[in-house]
Amino acid sequence: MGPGLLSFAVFFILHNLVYRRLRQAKLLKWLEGLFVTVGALLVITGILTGFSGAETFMAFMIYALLTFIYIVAIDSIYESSIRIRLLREIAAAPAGLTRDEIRARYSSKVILQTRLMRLEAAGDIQKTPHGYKLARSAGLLLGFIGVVKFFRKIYGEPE
Amino acid sequence: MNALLLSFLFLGLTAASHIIYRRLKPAKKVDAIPILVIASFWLTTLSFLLRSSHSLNASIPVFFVLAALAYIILHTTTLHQSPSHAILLSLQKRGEADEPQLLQDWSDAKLVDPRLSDLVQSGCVSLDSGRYVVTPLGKKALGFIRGYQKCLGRKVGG
Repeated sequence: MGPGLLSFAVFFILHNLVYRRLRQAKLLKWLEGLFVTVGALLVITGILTGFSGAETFMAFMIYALLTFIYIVAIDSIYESSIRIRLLREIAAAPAGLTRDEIRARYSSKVILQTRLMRLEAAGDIQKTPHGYKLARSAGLLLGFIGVVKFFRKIYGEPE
Repeated sequence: MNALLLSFLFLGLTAASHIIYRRLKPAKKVDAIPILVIASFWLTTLSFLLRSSHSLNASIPVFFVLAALAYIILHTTTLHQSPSHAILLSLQKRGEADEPQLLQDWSDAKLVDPRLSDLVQSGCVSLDSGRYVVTPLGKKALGFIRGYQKCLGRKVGG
């Protein structure tokens, strides 16, 4: 357990130290690279210091789960949560906003354009003369979406 | 190794129990309590089975709790489809698309209005004579968020 927690602490510190210096476009690739590097160091250290395979694997799983929870539940919320953005827009108007005023400031078009820009910067989609298409590196993300779709089906959620 | 395999088996049982529960009692919003109750039951059973001393004994409950939290997050993701995921799936289906084509699947009623309702339900925003106003709870939440964003030098997301 200790090595897993320590690895996550290293990941968290490095991520937050370097974050400010990175452009938006590099963020996701940096996160991926950092996760793999720290994870590999954890496994190598575990093997070299005589931990059993099961102990090393458990430490890696604890590190991976902590990182997943941090990135998806905490980090991503600040980056891309629509609710938080709406809250900020409403808070910026002391007298409040009507629904139409909110839509004028932050509409589905703005949401789409922001995400297209982010996905293109991360290398998941490519701009073409006729619009956009998936990039080859979108495979991992599509894999995760596949898992989500699978669970939606199992839960009986509509398509 | 047996303790590890048992852990994964009981995690599978936790997920299966929750899926059966969801099928019997569909919910429109995320309710973490059933998952936590189910996970606690299976973790207690696993701890009883592994009660003899084992090198992984301290790690397994931590691993189990983290896995349950990760499952709650995955469950949340299935209920609230991310717009970015929707874009990728749309491009996968169409092959290629421009903004107007992608916007066909989206509308303010679909993307913005449900989230406004969520904010009102959570108590962060109140609806007063047709105007949405931030509540003291919403201001506290924003204060925390702004502090974290400032710490990391981040801009407004969305």
